[in-house]
Amino acid sequence: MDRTSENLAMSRARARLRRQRWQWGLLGLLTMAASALLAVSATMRGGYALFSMAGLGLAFLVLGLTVVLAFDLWGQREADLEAARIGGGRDHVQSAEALNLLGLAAFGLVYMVFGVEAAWGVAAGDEGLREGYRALSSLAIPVAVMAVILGRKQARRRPGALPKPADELTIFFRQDALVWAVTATLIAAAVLFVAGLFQPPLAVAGMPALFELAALTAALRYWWLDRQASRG
Amino acid sequence: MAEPRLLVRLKDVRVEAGLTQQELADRAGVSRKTVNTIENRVFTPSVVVALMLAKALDAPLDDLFRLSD
Repeated sequence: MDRTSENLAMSRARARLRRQRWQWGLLGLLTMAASALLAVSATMRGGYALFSMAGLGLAFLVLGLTVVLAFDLWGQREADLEAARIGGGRDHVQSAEALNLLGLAAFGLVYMVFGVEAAWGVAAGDEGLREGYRALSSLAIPVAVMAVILGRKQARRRPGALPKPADELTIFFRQDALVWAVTATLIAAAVLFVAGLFQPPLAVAGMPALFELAALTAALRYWWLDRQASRG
Repeated sequence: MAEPRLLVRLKDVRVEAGLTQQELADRAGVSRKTVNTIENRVFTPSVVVALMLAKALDAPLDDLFRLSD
């Protein structure tokens, strides 16, 4: 995408963002109206049972629709914010995605520490269900990162809409990153297995670290390949 | 019999056509990174992308990609 078309994409994205303010406002009004209807219908007494039920049904229907529309609008907003910032060119968007993925994987290190701590407690038999949930929730970020890396679907970016533009090259990079992640995982799993033979809780406690290692390796490799391709 | 090797002449043809990587990418509808990685032999494109590049350069596919004897 050359400079002129990039500037055009940026100004179009800004215009869409301005229009979206009105759409958000309308959604807000719709939510307030539905909430008011909900409140009135819920307080109806006596012979108004049929009206009350109809009102509740309508209110819930409108609220449900509002949630769906809000999600759709949020997706468009995210895409437009990105396009307004970096121009929406496929190269830029792909690089931004690689960098964001690396940032997300790095952020996962914090959760990994909590996860290892919680898993250690559970494996040692000192902690219960609550720590188990904590340990499980530490897998959320690695799973999110790997979900992107495992993506095989090619998708072009439409104005004002997600998803990211994944093309043949992106998918080739993801496959390469996946090979690195699997290699790192196998090595780490072997180390954990040996450690677990001598100190069994280590095998369980190390699992959040193993998942995080896989995600971080994949994200790092993906970002590195993208960076190399952006040069020269 | 030796395994044939893929010879990539994309850069030569592109330079002969007086195009930058970005211009070729825009014409072919691919990213500049795709053009760059093909030229540097990091990435071997599918037949679809190869044909898109050939069309954008108005050159036969054989001019861009060839198998070594």
